[in-house]
Amino acid sequence: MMINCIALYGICFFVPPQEWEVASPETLSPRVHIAFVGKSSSGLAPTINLATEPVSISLPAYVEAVRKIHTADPNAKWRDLGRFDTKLGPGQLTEIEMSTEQGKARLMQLMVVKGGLAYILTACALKEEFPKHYKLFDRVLQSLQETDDLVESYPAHKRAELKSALGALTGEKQWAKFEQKIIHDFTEIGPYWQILMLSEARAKLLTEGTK
Amino acid sequence: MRKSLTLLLLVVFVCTSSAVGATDTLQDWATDTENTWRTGSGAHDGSTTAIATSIIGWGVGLALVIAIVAAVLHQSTSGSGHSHCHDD
Repeated sequence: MMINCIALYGICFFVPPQEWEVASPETLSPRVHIAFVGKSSSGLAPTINLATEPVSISLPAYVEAVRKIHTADPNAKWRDLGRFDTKLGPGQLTEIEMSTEQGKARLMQLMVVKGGLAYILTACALKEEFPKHYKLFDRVLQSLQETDDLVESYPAHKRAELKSALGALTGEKQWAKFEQKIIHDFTEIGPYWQILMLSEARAKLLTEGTK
Repeated sequence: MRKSLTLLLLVVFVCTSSAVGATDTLQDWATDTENTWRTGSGAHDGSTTAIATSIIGWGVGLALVIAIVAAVLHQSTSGSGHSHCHDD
């Protein structure tokens, strides 16, 4: 699993649907940071994932490169759905249809190019079930954002408590308590933010421990 | 004799320059091809992961993911003194 590097890129995250599980890190392709899986009675579960790719081209050029990849695949049908604005910046929304053994899958892919990185948020569901998930996917795509400070990205009413918890984390002994606090008390913007917050705090703790 | 030597040196110089130029061009071409071939791999990874995770159809608990992240961080910190990210 890749861990976002604050110094180089800022932190990009999105708010996944509630109750969705985190996909096992071993199942992710190299450029995918995280994926979430929803419940489904059919063969294909709804999923959403975030990937990034270093680029030195514009968004239209990147979309064109992606179009070429997908249109070269005889099993895939690709179409451009147009501009989609996010908190991260202007993006482009595309749709892909692919046949799988479990039925026809529909994917919605949002691409944003910013600061030398392409951010790609991909939502997927069984084609017949896609309309049922559309509003949910739209909300998740809208939530894509970047921050230099995870604490400041959390809703204001809990920020003081979060700062206090971070301040109390001075060594390995306090880690378990801090971890539980983040998991149970800071759930408002979802598990991806929680993972990033814990990763950042853990990295800081370990780095300070090695000094 | 002197003329022949000058001519020979000139031929050697021209050949060497073209060979170096050709190598540079070839390297540029290789880099361009590599970039063209790779561009879009993030989106491609996103769609293949989406299909794969949809087929698998289940995930793991948040606690397990956090434990994995913590283990990865611990390894990278104890190994090099600082952590590298974006291991692509």
